[in-house]
Amino acid sequence: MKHVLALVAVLLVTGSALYFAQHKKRQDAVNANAVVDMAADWQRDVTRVPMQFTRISDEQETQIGDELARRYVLVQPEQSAETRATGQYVDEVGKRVALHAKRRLNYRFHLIADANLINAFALPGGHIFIGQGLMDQITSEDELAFVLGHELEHIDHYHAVERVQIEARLKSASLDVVAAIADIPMSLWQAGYSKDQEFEADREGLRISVAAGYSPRGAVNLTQRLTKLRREYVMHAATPADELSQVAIDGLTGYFRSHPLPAERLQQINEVIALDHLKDKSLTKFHVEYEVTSGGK
Amino acid sequence: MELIVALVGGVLVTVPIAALMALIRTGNLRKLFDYNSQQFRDRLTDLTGEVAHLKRQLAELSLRLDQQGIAASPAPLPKEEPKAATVAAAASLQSAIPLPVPHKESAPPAFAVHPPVNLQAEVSAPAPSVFLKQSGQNQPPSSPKPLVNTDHLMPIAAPVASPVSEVKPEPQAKKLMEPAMNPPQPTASTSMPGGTAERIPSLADEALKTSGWSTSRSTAAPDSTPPRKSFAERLRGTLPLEELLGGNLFAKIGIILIVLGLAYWAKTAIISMGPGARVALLYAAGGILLGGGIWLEGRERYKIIGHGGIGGGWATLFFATYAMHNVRALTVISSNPLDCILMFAVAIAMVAHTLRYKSQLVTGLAFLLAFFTIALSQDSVYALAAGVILAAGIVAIALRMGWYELEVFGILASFGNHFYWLYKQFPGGVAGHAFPQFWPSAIILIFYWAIFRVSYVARRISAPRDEKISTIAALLNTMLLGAVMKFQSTRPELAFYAILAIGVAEFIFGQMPITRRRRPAFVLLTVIGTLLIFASVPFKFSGNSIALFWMITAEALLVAGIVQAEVVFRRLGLLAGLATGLLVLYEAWDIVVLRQHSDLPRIQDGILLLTCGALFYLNALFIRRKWKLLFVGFDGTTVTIHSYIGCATAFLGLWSIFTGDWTAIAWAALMLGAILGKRYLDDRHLLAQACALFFTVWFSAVAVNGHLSDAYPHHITMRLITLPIIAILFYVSAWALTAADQLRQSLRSLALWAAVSLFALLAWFEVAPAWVALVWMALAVAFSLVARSIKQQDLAYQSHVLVVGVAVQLFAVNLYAQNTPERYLPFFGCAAALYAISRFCTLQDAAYRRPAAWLHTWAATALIAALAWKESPQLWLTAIWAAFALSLAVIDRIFDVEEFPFQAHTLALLAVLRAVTLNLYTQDQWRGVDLRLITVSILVAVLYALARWVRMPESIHARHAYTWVASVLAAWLMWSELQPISVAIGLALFGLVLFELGTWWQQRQIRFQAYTALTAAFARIFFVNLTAAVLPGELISPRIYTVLPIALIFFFIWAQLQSDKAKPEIGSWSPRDLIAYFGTACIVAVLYFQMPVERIVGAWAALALVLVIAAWALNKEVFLQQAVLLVLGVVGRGVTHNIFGGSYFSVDGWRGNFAVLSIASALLLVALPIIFRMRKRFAEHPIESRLGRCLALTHTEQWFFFAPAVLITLMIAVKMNAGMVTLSWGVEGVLMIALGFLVSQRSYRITGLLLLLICVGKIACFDFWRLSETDRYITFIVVGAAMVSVPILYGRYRETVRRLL
Repeated sequence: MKHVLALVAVLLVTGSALYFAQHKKRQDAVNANAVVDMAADWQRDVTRVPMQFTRISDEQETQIGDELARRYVLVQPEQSAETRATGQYVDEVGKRVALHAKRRLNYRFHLIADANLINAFALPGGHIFIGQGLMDQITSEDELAFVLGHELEHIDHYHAVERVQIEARLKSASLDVVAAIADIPMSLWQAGYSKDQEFEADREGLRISVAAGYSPRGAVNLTQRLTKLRREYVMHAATPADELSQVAIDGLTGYFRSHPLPAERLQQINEVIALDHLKDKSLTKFHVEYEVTSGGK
Repeated sequence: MELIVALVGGVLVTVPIAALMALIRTGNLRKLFDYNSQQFRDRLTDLTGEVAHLKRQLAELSLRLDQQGIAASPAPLPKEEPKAATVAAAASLQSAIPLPVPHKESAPPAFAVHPPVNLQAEVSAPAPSVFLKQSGQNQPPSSPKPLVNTDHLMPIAAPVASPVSEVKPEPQAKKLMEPAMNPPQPTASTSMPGGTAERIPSLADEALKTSGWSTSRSTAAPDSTPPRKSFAERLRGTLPLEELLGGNLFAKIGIILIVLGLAYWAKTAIISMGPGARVALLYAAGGILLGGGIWLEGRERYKIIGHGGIGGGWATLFFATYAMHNVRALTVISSNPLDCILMFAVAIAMVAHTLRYKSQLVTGLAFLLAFFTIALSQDSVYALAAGVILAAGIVAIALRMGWYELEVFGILASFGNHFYWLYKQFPGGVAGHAFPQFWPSAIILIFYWAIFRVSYVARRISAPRDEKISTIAALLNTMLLGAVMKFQSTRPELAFYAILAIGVAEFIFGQMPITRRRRPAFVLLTVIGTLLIFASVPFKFSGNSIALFWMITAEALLVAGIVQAEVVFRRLGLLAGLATGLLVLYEAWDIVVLRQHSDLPRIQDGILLLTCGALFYLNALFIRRKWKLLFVGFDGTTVTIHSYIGCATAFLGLWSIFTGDWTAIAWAALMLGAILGKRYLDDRHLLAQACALFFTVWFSAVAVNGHLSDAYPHHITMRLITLPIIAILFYVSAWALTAADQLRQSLRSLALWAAVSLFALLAWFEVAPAWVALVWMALAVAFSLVARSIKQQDLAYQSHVLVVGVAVQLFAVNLYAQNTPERYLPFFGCAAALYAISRFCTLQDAAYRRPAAWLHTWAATALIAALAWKESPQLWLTAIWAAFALSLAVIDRIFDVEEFPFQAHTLALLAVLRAVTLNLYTQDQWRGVDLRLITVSILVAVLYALARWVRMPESIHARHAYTWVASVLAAWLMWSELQPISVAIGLALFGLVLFELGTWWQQRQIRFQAYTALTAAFARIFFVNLTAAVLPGELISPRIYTVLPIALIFFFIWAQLQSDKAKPEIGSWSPRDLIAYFGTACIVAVLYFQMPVERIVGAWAALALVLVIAAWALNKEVFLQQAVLLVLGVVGRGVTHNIFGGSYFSVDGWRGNFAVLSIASALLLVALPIIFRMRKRFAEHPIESRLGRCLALTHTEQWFFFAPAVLITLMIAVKMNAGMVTLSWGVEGVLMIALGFLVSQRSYRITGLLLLLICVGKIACFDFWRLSETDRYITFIVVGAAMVSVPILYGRYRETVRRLL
């Protein structure tokens, strides 16, 4: 009898959970992110053990980053006046935020005129790139400051340099090594970092953007928008086979797959705002000024 | 440049000489080794005698003691000695030394007086040392005390190794007894060097073995053998780690530093010396070497070393003399002549001195230096004359003293010296330019060659080794002459005559009567002469003339060797023929190249090659058969190679003459000839050649005669003509290969296969593709019938292969034919043929006729099924196949066709696969109903029907295959219909239902399906549930309300499996532990994804504590396993993430570096009291599971101590301010020691001590040099205080420590 009662209780509990889960109109994506995240986090943690012993100097990091940036900037097409002005605007906002970074590096901010690039990334030594696609999603200067602060903290917290520091350290950052490292494709830097590092960059990026005078609501707004965008972006399989194939072909590239879930990021941002008692302000309007000359460029 | 050349020349000269000296030294060392071995054997014999003498003494003393009544009274026992130790010691002694039977009666009284032994004190006193010390004090070797010390004292033969030869039996008997009455303290043994103690027992042990005494433990009585101690116990006994670390180790570190400082001082003391002082140092070193060598040379045991010292000393002196002018850093004199004079003087003195010793080594060294001196100063022809004189001197010494190694050195030095002189004159070589010293140089070279050749011919050989050395000398003489002559050659066109002349001279030398006394010399010189004569030919002639000349000469030598029965000539002829064959083959490579792009016949080359082939076959097949006795061993092997070369030349000759489509026919004829040759001459090598030719013929027939680029509708006449001819030749070859041996049978099979392959190929190219299958099928039917008629197995096999080809052709071509007759007729025709020949496709008595028949019907059924697949609608095919399977099963039940059940299984499987790959994904509808539901439901129903109706093997498990598939399909449908996040719960519920049904119906397979569903549910959470986001407005994370119920199901089923009704499912294995692991893993995973990343380690530690409590409360080992595994996870996660993976910019507070890890460590330590309680359970009920033993669950307290210890220690090392690390470690170490005392755990205390030891090392290596003043000051004080507290703790708990030890 006890067994039957226990069975009924278990069936009730699990049946309720099934009903509760089934009742809601959820659109959860089926992917291997849980396993991949765990593996990536463990791999990242394990590989960070030697990072403690292979730290390179800021000068060497800057040397490597300059060479990387030089190669990436060279492949950019000729920019229009609007793009140049937007780039200058990004640089101004970024430099304002960078004043509050912990490391005193020469931070430089670049715009990549690619409307399909909904991403931003950072290189060792202080170079930060933001895609035009992501700029199109931004509606206020506060949001831009949060994005730049996020990428800046990837540099500030050595996330970027850790990708090359062991090789650079083993070869003492000679010129040959710099050239070899500079051959790393840009997509590697766009692939994002581990979940932990992304959270750290979010956390610290929000703090320095607020310290630079921007509103924390920019971070909230942007993250909410990304959450909505993600719902539209992620494909939902109709059959188990689709799920299997989706899991199989799901790569690690792309913004959403290399970053934590926007909902989790939003939750952390709200926690930081509450914990640090960050005061809300009015948003600064996104403002780009440029002059159209006769050449049209 | 000259210096480099001089160095290279020096190396070239010195390396062979050094090798020669090493050879000599090896011989001398071997002599020394033999001498020492003999000495050792003598010493061993002496020791054996001494052992026997001691045994007699022992017997006499025992007897005397017995008579005097002394031995009967026991020795006074110290009061503090435990009595049990005495008993154990005596037992050990008796087991350790089984005395020989004749002495047994007299020995016991002596051993009955054993004084008691303080075993505790003897732990640090090796027993052999004790005994040796006593022996040194003239104590009786039979003193029992040291022998009592058991295990590692087992080399009780120690007394034998003592200098007992000095013992006088009678006068010292009373003195020997005194120590026996008053046994010495064991601590006296510590003064004995351990090395001696180890060495002497081993010798004595060997001596005991020689004398028949056994020291082996295995000879002891089994009941008296002491229990074997574990490694840890022995280590604990021999290495008192706690006392060592607590007492002495720190003081020794300073000593090591002082020693290192002294070493540096020593290193910096030798820097500033001038050239004069260095030369003086060299002279002094050389003088010491020389003087020492002379001194040691006078002593027989060190004579070899003395020789080396003399040689090395002279070498050093000579080098110093040389360096005074030639080495920049050592230059002290500037006059070159003066230095040359000094070098000559040293060389002369050296030679004069070394000859006194009649040592080849010393004299060789002297000559080496003399040549080197000449090489350094040879500016004129006089220097070369000096070389000639030295060479003559060497020859004279070699002939007189029998030092033929020295002559080898002389040859190298003479020619090398001469070459160096030439090289200095012409660095780039003479290159055909005349020079005035040519003839003197040539004469000197000839003279060198002549005197060394005369020496070789005239010598008398007394040992085989001398002959080998002489052979090296003879070869070097000719080779170096040729090399140097080539270097100074001014008219290359005369090389033919020069080489011919030298060859003739060598040949004549070889035929001289004085030479023929020594057969090796005769053989060597004859061979050298012949080779030179052969080698000279290309310098004068070229092209085929060489081959003809060589071939004629080779045949002449062969015939001469046969007629005169002289093996040298015969072998030379064979080898010359071999060389000729290789040359011909090398030159025939042009034909291979030519045939890549041209079919032009080369009649002349072909005739030459065929002639050579005929001659080689003549040698191999006829001459060899005629004079069989002359061609054995090496000659037989060589003439066998002739046979293969003959085959190769014939092959190439045919290729030269017959081109294009006729080549394969010509080669096939050659292959047939080889096979016939094998048949009538019985030469197995011909069969091997036929094998090689077979593959070549077949490849050529396919690649060339097949005209692969021209297929139907093009028809090639030559293909139609030649392929059947070649196939017929293959058939004839197969007929000629009828024999019982394996190789011929294999080749016959290959020939038959090659023939049928050619026919199949012909059909493939000449028949329309749609009808090829039918033609091949007809061939297959024909082969089957013929094979059955003439009982030829290969034809049956070929029929099977053709059937396979037919199937491939049907599926690849006919299935997709546009024309309906081209689809249906071949399919049905071939299926009918397969059904028809299914029972006639093999020989009547073939062992595989049943499987073959099955395969044919299977193929027929497969053809029909495939046609149905091609022709029927997509989604309904599943139902068609399922119905076909069901009908086959029904037919089988009616007509008992044994293949049909299996075909039904296959069709059912195909239907399932079809459903899995297609029907499950369709969203089409049929009359408003979901087609997926209809078709899959039909399939599931058919599967359950088949599970009941189809004939199955006896095993009940096989029938459950259908239920398995049905369950999987049902689960799949659930997966398809539910939301992604609900699938895991649905599967878990499905698993729960299956489990209850399986338990109710007592169907184990149903329970297995339940376990599978539960496993799938567990895996599923990693793909959706754990990464599911919280929707706006949700209070509870979906991770929690979807994963934790699954964990609840797992634990419910685990609880069900705990009941007595639950039995092991597979063998002795039960899934209950796995289910429990799933449940816990769900919680662990939820914690991992739900908690903030820094706090995961703390959450896991808390869960580990809960698991420990659960293990204690429920008395279930599985939770303790999980707790230990989770502890490992805590350590891994804590170390990699919280310690090394955290942010570089640490912050304080809850999310900081220290709080989480400290709390996690505290939670783990909190579990320790519970774990110590559980140890009592394990003492009563040992761990039985393998995983439990692997995880050392009986020592769980170690996991729960060392995990936080590692975390805290590393956290301090990485996160703490560098100046405070040592301090913190010191405090931690003391706390560990205190905890170790509190819970009586030695490992805790040892860990604390080691941590303190690390502190000391860090202070010495790092803190003392790098820390700031303040940090260093504080660190020293606190760590020092910690160090002081340790001995206090040990003093307080001294008795506890002793008891625990």
